[in-house]
Parts: sequence; C-alpha cells; structure tokens
Amino acid sequence: MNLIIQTGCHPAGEISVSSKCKSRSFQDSLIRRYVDSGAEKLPYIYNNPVWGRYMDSVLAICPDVAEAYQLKAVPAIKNGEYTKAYQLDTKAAELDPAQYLSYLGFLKCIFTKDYSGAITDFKKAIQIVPGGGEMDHGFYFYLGICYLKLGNYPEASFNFNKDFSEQQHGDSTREIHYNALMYMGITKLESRDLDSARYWLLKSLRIYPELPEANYYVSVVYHIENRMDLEKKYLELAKKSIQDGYRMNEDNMYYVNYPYQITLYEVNQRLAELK
Amino acid sequence: MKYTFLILLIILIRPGFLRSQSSGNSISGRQKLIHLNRNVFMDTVWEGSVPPDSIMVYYYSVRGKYPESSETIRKQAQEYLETTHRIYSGSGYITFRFYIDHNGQMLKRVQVLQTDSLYKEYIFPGNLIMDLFVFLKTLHAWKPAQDIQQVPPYYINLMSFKIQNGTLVDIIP
Repeated sequence: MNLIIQTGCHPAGEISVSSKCKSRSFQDSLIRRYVDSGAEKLPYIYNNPVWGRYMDSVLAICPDVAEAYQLKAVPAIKNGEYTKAYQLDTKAAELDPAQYLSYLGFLKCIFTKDYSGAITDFKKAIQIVPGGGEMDHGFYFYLGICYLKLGNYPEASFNFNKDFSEQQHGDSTREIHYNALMYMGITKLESRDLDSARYWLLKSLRIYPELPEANYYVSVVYHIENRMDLEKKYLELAKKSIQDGYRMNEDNMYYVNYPYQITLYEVNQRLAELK
Repeated sequence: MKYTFLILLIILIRPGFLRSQSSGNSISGRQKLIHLNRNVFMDTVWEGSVPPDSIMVYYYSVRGKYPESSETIRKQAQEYLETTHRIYSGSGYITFRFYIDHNGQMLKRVQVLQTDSLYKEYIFPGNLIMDLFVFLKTLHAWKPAQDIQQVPPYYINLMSFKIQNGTLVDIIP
C-alpha cells in the first residue's frame, strides 16, 4: 500500500489511536487533513492516480472510516470499474449504513441500472433512516424508478405517491419535484393509462415548462392517440428546450443517463418520421 | 546486442506479462483479447502524441456522453447482435474504455472491464465481447476532444453493456 504519510505506531500508540478512531470528530479530522487539505487539492482531483493513496492513509490510521472507502470508490464508479467501486461502497455501507446504504442503492439504480439490487438497499435504508433522501430525492423516488424500469407499474405508482406525500409533508399546496411528476407520468404511459399520463406530465410541465423529457413523453401520448398536430407541437417544444440548453437538472446526469432520459437525436428521429 | 535482444524476448513472453485470451474465449480469424498484467485490452496500440497514462480527462468533464439515449443505443446494439445469429451467455457488465481524439475518433487502445451481476470479477465468453466491440466501432458521433494548448487533445470515454443471461438489457452511460 502506498501511503501519503506512513504511520509508524508502537503498541502503546496503537491502543491510543484505536480508541481515538471510534470518535467521529477524530475521523472527521483525518478527512479534513488527508482529503480536504490533500486529495481535493490534486490536479484532476479524483482522476489523479494518487487520489486513492490519500484515502489509504486515512484507513491506515483508522481502518473503519466509511467515508474513506466511499471517497476511494468515486473514480471507480464514474470510470466503469464496477468491481472495485462496489467492493468499496459496500464496505462503506456496512460500516455506516445510515449514511451510505442509500448511496449504494442510488449507484445501483442510476449508475449500473441494477434495479433489483437498488430496491433491496433502499428498502433497508428506509428502515434505518425513515424519510431520508439521496441526491436531492427521497428514497421512494428511486424505488419508483426501479419498479418502473422492472415493469411493475402498480408498485412504481405506489412509491411515487409515497414520494409525493413525503415531499408535501401534509401540505397539498406544496410543489412536487418536476422529475418525480414526470416519472409518474411515464409510469402511467407505460401502463397505457393515457389520460393519467398526460395529467402527470402536464403537471410536471407547469412547474418546469422546458423539461425536454416531459414534453417528449407528452408527444408520445399524442402519438398513441394519433393526434399528430399535438404530437408535433410537443416534439418541437422538446427540441427547442434541448437546443436552448434545458435539461433534467439531476446532479449526476453528466456521468450517466437517467432512465428515460432523451437527447436531441430521439426528438429529431421522431420529427423526421412525422414528415 | 544479441543478449539484449534475448533478454527482451524472455521478458515479453514470460507468463502473465502479455498474453492473448485462450482460444475458448476468442473467435478464430478475428481479434483476440490482450491480457496485460491484470488488465484486458482489445488493442494496446497507442498513436497519441502524449502517453495514455497522462490523460486524466473523462467524458463527463467535457459533456462527452454519446449523443443518443441509452435506450436508442441498446436497441441498435441488440439489432446488431441479432444479425450475428449467435447465442450468448453470461450476466453482468462489459465495459469498453477508450480515448477520443480531437476529430471525435476512437483511438485503437481500448481496455475491457468485466464484472458479473454481483460486481465480482468475471470473464464473459469472448464472442460477446468481440461482437459488442464491433458494434461499438459503428458509433461515430463522439464529441471531439478540445484542442487547447497545454491540454492533451484527448479524453477518455466509456460504454458499458449490461448483460442478463446473454441478453443485452441496458447501456451505461
């Protein structure tokens, strides 16, 4: 193991460090020292080949710092090294499930499209952190996406409704996230409940009129209904939105496509078919 | 001089340094996988102007995901695989990692990463890897690398194929 700073502890020191490692503030101080003031300053940050050595330095002092495992996995998950990434992220989730189990589920759901695996993780995470969230969304949002992609539309709808309830906290006037509304619309579209699909997709567009995917899937509803004028209208709206730079606005969409995410290519293909 | 050549030859042919994948995992008359230490490559040839290891810019830093949806690419890849009339097996992920130059061309050096569906190390049948690679080479809309002074005019891109019982089910990114 190549470390940034080697630690040479004598037995007495080991006992002392070992007991210190149980302290969250001591763990945080290691992260500040080796990550915030070290690894994060590297050129190309986590894509720098020595990134992992900073985390190894933390782990050499305290082998059970969950955050160090998670940080060490960052380049691996983003760069397609899934064996390495999941070995480290699973270890992080085992050490600190409250913090990292839902993150593990998120990676499976959004990065590696492992929907069954993600459902298992999110169901456990809900027990540990009820009402918790990951990457700007509640756990039920991801469960909804997983069931949608597995073709279990009733379960997807159920989980999106649970997500809506959590977002609104009993206040029905509170705005729901446009992407959650859109995925509910897609769920209804997949189950061929066209009126309901249109309802949820248009509801999403009332909050974010330029959302390309919502416009695109409204056009699919009209395509199925054979209403070409409206199909074309929403495809044109989707096209303009993409050309103007509007996106789903999910933090991780630069690394990976979200389920049902579209590009200008799909819009142009369908517009060409209309001509 | 001749001893230098002999020593070099011994180093190159020693087990584990450089070997092609066994015949069971390759298709006769077609490209073989190259095992270089613990890494696997479709090709190790490097034609770039800077060493490949010096390139640390990935597709996400240049908004370089392939400009078609994952579902569109999956359908195209599936259509291609059907034309081979081969029956595939295995479950997990086959990932190709490669370099894109300032013309938007994929360079020859391509790494292959293989993982099973539980994220353990795994070896897929060679014919599936080869056929997916043939499909990958049909994609020509990669975003060109920016040719900025002092920045190597390359970036690293990747594409993962999620396989379930020999069937292509998803594409990453």
